[in-house]
Amino acid sequence: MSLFLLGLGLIALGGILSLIPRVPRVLASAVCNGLMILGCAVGVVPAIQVLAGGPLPSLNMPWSVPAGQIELLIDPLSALFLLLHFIVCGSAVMFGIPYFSSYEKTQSLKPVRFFTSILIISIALTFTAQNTILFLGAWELMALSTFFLVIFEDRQERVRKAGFLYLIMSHTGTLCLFVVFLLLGRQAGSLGFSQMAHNKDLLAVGTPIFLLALVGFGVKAGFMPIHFWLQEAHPAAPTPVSAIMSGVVIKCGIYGLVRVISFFPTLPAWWGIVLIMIGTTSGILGVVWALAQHDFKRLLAYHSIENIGIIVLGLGFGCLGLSLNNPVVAMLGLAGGLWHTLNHGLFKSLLFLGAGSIYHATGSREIDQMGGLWKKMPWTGFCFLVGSVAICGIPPLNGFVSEWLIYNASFVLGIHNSNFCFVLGVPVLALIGVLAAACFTKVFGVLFLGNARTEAAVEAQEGGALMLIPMLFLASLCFAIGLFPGVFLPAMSRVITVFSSVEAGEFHQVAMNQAGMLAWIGWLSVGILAVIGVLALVRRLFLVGKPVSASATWGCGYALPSPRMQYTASSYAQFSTLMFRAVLRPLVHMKRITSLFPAAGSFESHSPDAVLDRFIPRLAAILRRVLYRVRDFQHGRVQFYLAYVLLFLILLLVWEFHGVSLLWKKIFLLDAVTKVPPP
Amino acid sequence: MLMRFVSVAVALLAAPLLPGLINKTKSAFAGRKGPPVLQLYFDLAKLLKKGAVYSPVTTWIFRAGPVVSLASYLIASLFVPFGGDSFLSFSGDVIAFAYLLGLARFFTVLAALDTGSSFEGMGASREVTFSILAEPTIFILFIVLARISGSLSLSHMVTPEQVLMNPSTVGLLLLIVFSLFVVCLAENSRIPVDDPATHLELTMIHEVMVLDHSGPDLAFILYGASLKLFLMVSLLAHLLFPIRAANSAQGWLLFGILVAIVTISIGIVESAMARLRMVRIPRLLIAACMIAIFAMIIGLR
Repeated sequence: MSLFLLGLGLIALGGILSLIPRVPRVLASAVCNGLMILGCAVGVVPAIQVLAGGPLPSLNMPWSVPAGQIELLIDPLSALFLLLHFIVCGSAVMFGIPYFSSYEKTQSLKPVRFFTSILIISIALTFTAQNTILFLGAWELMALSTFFLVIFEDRQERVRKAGFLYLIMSHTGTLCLFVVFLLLGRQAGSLGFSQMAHNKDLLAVGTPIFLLALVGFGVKAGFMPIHFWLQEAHPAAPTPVSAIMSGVVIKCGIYGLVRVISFFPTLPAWWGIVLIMIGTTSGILGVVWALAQHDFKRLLAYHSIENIGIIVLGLGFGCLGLSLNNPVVAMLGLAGGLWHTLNHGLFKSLLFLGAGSIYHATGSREIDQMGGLWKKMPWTGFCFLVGSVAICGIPPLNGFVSEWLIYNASFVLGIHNSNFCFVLGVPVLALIGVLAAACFTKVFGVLFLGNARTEAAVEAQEGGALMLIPMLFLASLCFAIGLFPGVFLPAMSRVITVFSSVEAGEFHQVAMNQAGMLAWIGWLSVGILAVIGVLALVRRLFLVGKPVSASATWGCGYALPSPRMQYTASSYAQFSTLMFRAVLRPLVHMKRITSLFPAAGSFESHSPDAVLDRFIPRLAAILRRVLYRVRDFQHGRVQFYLAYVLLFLILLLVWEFHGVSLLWKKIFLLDAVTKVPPP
Repeated sequence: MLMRFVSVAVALLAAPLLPGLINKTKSAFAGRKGPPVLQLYFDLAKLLKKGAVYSPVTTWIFRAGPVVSLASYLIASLFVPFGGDSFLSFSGDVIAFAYLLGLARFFTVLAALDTGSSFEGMGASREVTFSILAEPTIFILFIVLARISGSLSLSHMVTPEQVLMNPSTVGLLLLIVFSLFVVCLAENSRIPVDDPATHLELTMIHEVMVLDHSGPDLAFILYGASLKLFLMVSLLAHLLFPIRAANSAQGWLLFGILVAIVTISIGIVESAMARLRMVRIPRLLIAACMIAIFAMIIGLR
C-alpha cells in the first residue's frame, strides 16, 4: 500500500508544484510531468504484485465525513484497472509534454497539469475505494477534473458545448449511482463494500440496483442509447486527454458495473441477456457510425463505443454462465470481457496518441486531407498500424486474444443451449470485427498510404522522441499480450475470483484448461510472425540479382493523375455505408455538374449522431409543445393562483384522510348493509 | 504426424491445380481446348524468375501485402483437414482460421490503397463491403456445424459424423453446403461475383486490388489465391461426404474426387452464369446469409 500511496503522493506533488507562479517553462514542464510519470511508474508496481498473486494491500483510516471511511483495498479487480490506468496515464502525460508545448504561447498550461494530476489520483481512488462515500467522492472528482480538461480550448464554442454536454450527462449518471449505492447500503446495513459483497439480502432489490447501475455506469462507459456525450467530448478534448478518457475514464463505468455485479452471490439469468443485448447494440451501431465518420478523433470515439459493446458482450456471457452454472462459459466470458477492457485501453490510447501526433504535425483532424504520411512519419505509422490491427481483433496482436475468449464463450453456450440469444454472439462479433477491419483499412490507408492530398500532409514530420516513446511502449505491450497470452491468464483468473458467485476451486480447474488453449493462440501468433519472416526472406532471395525498377502507379491510361483523384475516406466507405443507410441516414450536400460548361461542383456528406442530433431535438420539440399547454395555467391572475392553492389543499386533505375511498363509498352506498333475504 | 505432414504438403503442392481445372471445365463448355491444367504452375515459375516494378508512391506495406496474405493462408491450411486429420487442431481453431483469412484481407486491402490509385481503392472498397456480408455468414455456418458436431475444432466440424446417426440433419447439411458454396464463390472472386479472367473492367474486385504487383509478389498473390480456393473447396468437399477417414489411401482418393467435383461445379457455375451487376451482389450474399440463418434456426431445435 505504501508504494501505491507514494505514487499518488508524487502525482499530487506534480500537480501542486505546477501552480507555483513564475517558474521557467521548461523547468515547470520537466518537474511536473516528470513527477507525474514517476508516480505512475511507482503506482503500477503494487498492481502488478497483486495480479501476480501477492498479498492484497489495504488501508483503513477513520474519516470525519458521516458514514465515510478511508478504506482502500487493491484486490485483483482493482489491480487490473489500476495497471491499465497507470500505464495509459503515464504514456499520455509523457506524450503531452511536446503536444501541449505548442499551446504554450497562447495559453497557460497550469490548469492542464493540475487537473491531470487530480484526474489520475481520483481515478486511482475510484478503483481502490471500498467505501461508498469515498467512491462517490472520487467519482465526482474524476468527472469534474475531466470536464476542466475537456474544455482546455474553451475559446471555441464547440468545445464549450461538448464540455457542458459531458458534465450534464456525467451528473445524470451520478444521480443514478447515488440511488444504487443508497439501496445497496440500506440492504447491506453498511456503506462499506466488504459488507456488500457476498450479501444474500441484496437480491431483494437486485432489479432496481442492476437497472440503475446500467444507466449510471452506462453513461460513463458509453452504452449505445446513452453514449452521445462521447463522440462530442473525445474530439473536443486535447489528444492526451482523449487518450486517458477513452483508455481509462470510460472504463470506470465498466469497473463500477462489474464491482456492483460482483456483490451479488447469485445472478438472475436475464441480467446476462440484457448485457448481451446492450453489447450487441453498442458494438454494431458504434462501428457503423465510426465507418461513416471522417474526423479521425470522432471516428475513434465511436470505436470506443463499439469496443465497450464487445466488453459488455463478454461480461454478459460471463454473467449468463454464472447464472446457468456453467463455469467454462463464465470463465471465458468474464475473462474475455475484462481482458478486452485492458486490451482496448492499450490499443485505443495508442491510436489516440497516434492521432494526436498527426494532429500535431498537420493541424487537421480530417482524414481526407491526409495521405502519404507513412513516408513522413514512419514510426507513428508503424504504431498506428499496430493499433489498427489490434483493434480489429486480428492475430497476432492482443485484440484477438480477448475476442477469441468471448467467441469461445458464445460458441460453448450455443453448443449446449438451444436459445437464439446465446448463439447470436458469434455472428455479431464477426460482423463487428469485419466492420472494424473495413473502418481501419480506411483510416490507415487514407492517412498513411498513397499520395499526400494537402500541403500540410506534405510537410508533416515526427513530433520527437517524447511522442514516440509512449506510442512504442503501448505498441510493444499489444505485441506482448498477443504473443504470450498464457502468461496473463492466471492474473485474469485471479481477477474473476472477485465475483461473489464464483467458486474459486472450480474456476481454477477451468482456468488451467483454458491456459492450454491460450498457449495455442500464443504459438499461433508466434507462428504467424515466423512464417511472415521466412516468406519475406524467400521473396528477397527471389529478387536477388533481378532488375527492380520504379515506375508510376498504373493510372488507367490517364496521363495527369493528381493526389485528389485517390479514393478518399468517404468514397472508400461509401459502398459499405450504403448498406446501413437506413440507420445512418447520412446528410448529403451536393452541387451537381449539369451543363456542358459547368460551374464548380462539390460533394459533402456527414452522418449525424442518431441520438444527439436526431432523437433529442425531436424529444425536446415534443416536450416544448406539451409544456406550452401548461403555460395556460400561468396567466398572472392572483385570485386564480389562490384557487389553485385551495384546490391543491383539498386534494391533499382528501388524500391524507383516505377521503377518496370514503367519498366513493358514500356515493355508491358501498357501506350500506343490504338486507339478506330470509332463507 | 508424418502422414499429417504429407497431407498438408500434398495439399500445398496441389492447390494451383484448381484454377486450371476450373478453366478446363469452362473451356469444355465453350467448346475450346483451353489452357493446360498445369498453367498456373508455369505462370508461377515464370513470375518467380522475374524482377519487380514498384511505384514510387508505395511503401513497404505494398511489399508486405503479398507476404502477409500468403503467410496467413499457409497457417490457415494447417487447420483444414485434407482427407484425414488436419495438421493442427485445438478447440477454437475455427475462429483462428476465419481471422487468419481476415489478416490476409486486411493487408491485401492496405497494399491496394498504398498505390494511391483510385482504381485500386475502388477494388479495396468493394472487397471490404462484400466481406461484411460474407464473414458473419461463415460464422453462422460455423455455429451450426459446432452444434451438430459438438466440437469447436475445424477438422471435427466439417466432418460431422453425427449426421449419419440422424438422417434428418442431412437437409440441414445441404443448406450449409449451399450457403458455403456461395460464400466460397464470393471470397475467391469467382463468377457470378467477380470475374478472374479480366483485369480492366470497372466491375472487378480482387484482380483490381493486385493490379500493381509484379514478379515474385504477384506469384505469391496468385499462389495464395489458389490456396485460399483450395482451403474453401476442401471444407465443402468434407461437408459433402462427412465421414472421418484416418490418413489413408482410400480417404485421400475419396477426398481428391470430391475436391474435383466441387471444383468442376464451380467451373459449371461460371460457364452457365453471367457475372452479376455490382449492386446485385449484396443481394446474393444476403440470400446466402439468410439460408445460413435458416440452417441455424433448424439447428437450434
